Amino acid sequence: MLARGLMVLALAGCLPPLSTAPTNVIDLRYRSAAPTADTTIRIYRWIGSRSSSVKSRCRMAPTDSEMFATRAQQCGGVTSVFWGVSRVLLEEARDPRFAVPLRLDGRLRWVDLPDRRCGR
Amino acid sequence: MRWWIALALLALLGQSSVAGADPDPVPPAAVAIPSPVPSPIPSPCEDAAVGPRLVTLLRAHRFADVHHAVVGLRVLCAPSPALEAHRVLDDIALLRLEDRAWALSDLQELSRGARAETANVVLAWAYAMDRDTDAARAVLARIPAPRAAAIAALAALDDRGGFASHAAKLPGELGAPASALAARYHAARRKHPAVAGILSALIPGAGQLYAGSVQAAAVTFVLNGLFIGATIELALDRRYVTAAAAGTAASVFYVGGILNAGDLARRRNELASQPSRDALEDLLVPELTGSFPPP
Repeated sequence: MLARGLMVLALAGCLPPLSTAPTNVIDLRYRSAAPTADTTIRIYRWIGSRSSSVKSRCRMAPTDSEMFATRAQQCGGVTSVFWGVSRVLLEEARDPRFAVPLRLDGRLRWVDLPDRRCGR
Repeated sequence: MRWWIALALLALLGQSSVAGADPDPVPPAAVAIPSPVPSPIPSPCEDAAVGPRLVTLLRAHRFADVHHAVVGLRVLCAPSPALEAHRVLDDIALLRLEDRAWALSDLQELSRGARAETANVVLAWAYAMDRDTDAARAVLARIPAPRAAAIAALAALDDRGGFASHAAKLPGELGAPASALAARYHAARRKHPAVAGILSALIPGAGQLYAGSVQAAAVTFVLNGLFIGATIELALDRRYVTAAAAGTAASVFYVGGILNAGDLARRRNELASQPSRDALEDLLVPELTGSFPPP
């Protein structure tokens, strides 16, 4: 539980503004795919969607929380937490050597789609 | 005076009778209906340029766009050989997007139609890449031997020995260029994910540095340093519960850092070797980039 709480803090930069509808197919797919996968994610999004000052700053597509929710459904919570940290560090690496850049919602984002295999 | 009133009443009655009467039905003026002018934009179902456009999107790795376009065509157009070709392109795009269930089922259906050979090639490739050897073998048996060898070689690309053994069965005009492209592919994969992971386990952030990301290395090092330092400090102060909490967080970031180091190395390899892989796929299984033989 503590690890998940810390995960929420680590993902704070990747809050999708749920007060607005997804505006691209990637967010649409992964936001609606696992909307209630994890209570922590639901609380995290609920708080964010009610904050007018918090906007989506996530540089990844799908966002870290969408990816976490999708992975949590596929692979379970513990694996998702470890890979969630890895995802946050991948976001820090932001470089075309590691991910494909894409212009989405008027800004540059890095595409990293969930893999069917849980080991990556 | 009275006759004025009578005249006014008559006038009023006359007006109301005119207003209340049904007007004579006047036939509408004849409207000239223009003869149908052929639209300058052909129907997408009959437009021969749609196929090449989809192929261009597929080659540009715009797989989601291919899928959305073909879904539109499937809604609009009646079944036809052209639509079957578009469906194969859609299935390739979905396989690239790791959306396999729909693609495999559609390819199974197409493998019984006019596009059977193309669908079988794509299906065999999909199974072989997914390491589903039994299913791949069953589909490869329906494909001519040189094509089957090409698919098997492509599936074994990451295993140098396996690729060489399958490449030996390729026709002469394919064998040499395929081997050259495979050599380029392996040369581009210079980072070892296992080495990156071990380095990050020894010194958090070292694996990220090895993979080529200074920023990720710095963040990993600082985060791990903070959490591990806090755990030690709290334990020395005999605040064991808080130390356990900090230690749990430290272990999450430590393991996450190791995974990330390996992941960055793998990603770097994949993106660096992508051009060689694309060229090899184009050479060995041209169907994957939209080059179909006529049905």
